[in-house]
Amino acid sequence: MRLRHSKKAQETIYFVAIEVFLVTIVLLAFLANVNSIKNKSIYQKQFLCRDIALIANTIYSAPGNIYYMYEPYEIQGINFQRYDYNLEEYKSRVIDKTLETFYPFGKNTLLENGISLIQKPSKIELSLSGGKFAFGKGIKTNYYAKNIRKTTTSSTNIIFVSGVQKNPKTGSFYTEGQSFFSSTNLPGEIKSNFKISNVSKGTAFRLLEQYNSDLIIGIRQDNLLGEEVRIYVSSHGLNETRYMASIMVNKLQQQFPKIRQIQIIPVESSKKIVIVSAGEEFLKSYGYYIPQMFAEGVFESVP
Amino acid sequence: MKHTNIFRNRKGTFTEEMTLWIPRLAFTIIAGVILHLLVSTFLQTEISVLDADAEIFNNRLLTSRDGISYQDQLNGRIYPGIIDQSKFNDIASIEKSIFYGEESTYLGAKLKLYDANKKLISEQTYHNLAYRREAESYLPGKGGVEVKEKDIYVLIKDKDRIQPGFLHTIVVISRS
Repeated sequence: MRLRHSKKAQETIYFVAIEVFLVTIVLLAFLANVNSIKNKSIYQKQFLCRDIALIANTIYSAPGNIYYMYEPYEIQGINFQRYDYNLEEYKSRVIDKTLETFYPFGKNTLLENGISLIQKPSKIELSLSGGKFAFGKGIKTNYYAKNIRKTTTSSTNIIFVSGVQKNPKTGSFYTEGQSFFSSTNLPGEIKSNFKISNVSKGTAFRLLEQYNSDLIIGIRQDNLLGEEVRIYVSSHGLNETRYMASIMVNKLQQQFPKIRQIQIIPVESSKKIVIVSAGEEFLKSYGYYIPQMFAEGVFESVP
Repeated sequence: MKHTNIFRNRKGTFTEEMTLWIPRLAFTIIAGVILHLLVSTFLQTEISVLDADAEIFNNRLLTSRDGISYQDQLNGRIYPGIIDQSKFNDIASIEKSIFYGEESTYLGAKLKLYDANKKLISEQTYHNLAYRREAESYLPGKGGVEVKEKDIYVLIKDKDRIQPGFLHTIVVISRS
């Protein structure tokens, strides 16, 4: 019996066709739903704003300095460069033209926050250094962590002295080398970290006794600073000479990239001096003016 | 298959066929619904970071400079795991160091310090406006909150005295 001549067969085919049609409709609806979800940018924006908020919270939790570059290119389907980014009003914001998607993050209001709008970036930089949080592109970083709680010190007056040399022929003394005082903001940083009433510049170590100062820092900025530097820290004077030496370490590393090793060596001395030494010759130049140090055996073995 | 004709005319035969197709269509619909559920299981349309956020909050208390950990005043070094009790009691500073906004109800926490014998030494509430939403933890969906509790073994420094103890944190995070 041929099917096309059978009415019963026609009815059977009719109902089977309806069933197949319904199943096809359902399958196409599923595919369309999945495709529409895949193409929605809201999920990208939600992911990005949550990710950046978590990273900002993590950066704030660092105990020291940290620099992080955010480039989520390895995540498939994320069109990172399409949007603008901002961290204002305690929210991580992803901006698509005029529409914003945001997620809260915990801002540290005790720090200085340098946050700027970033438009369609190739990368986002976040850093926490020098007591400052930064969010943006091309941010600069300091190297030491600023102590926002003011330390106590018994000293009020600090003199910066450049390197001095003795002319072997004439026996006269002269200053040599550019002083750290003018070329860096180290004096300002020391003043802001310690209760110092006056930080000024001096010219010669031989006027040591003439300076009415609590601490004299002898430091020399020129090519003589080699790969290894020692900072001799006197235990007499400021309570936080070691902390001050840490600040100087960071400054030297920043200023002289070729320096590989810096050591902070505490010495017992009646003189309130912090000296940055780059080598034997430079060290001896200070020793000419501080014979007591040689007498005390501080510089008996010069490296 | 041998049919038993319920009705004895052509219309009756058609009606009989229709009646038999009803359970078939019903089965097809049920199969379709099950297929939809299977597909929906693998579709992730929500990104939840509440667990990570709570963990980061706990770590931030312990490792950041403006948290509750002891900091050496000479060199500025943080000692995570050593709780400075004076900093722990200064909850106002902690609220400034982790600030979600004046009116924000996103995250709140209860911090409890216990000694080694589980005796409560000190208790502080971080951002009470958000923490009091802990009472809404029974609400399902976006209107409710997630409550995350954690115990951390720490050393507690009170001036010159150091003793072992526990830090118990209850973090309440809004789902919306």
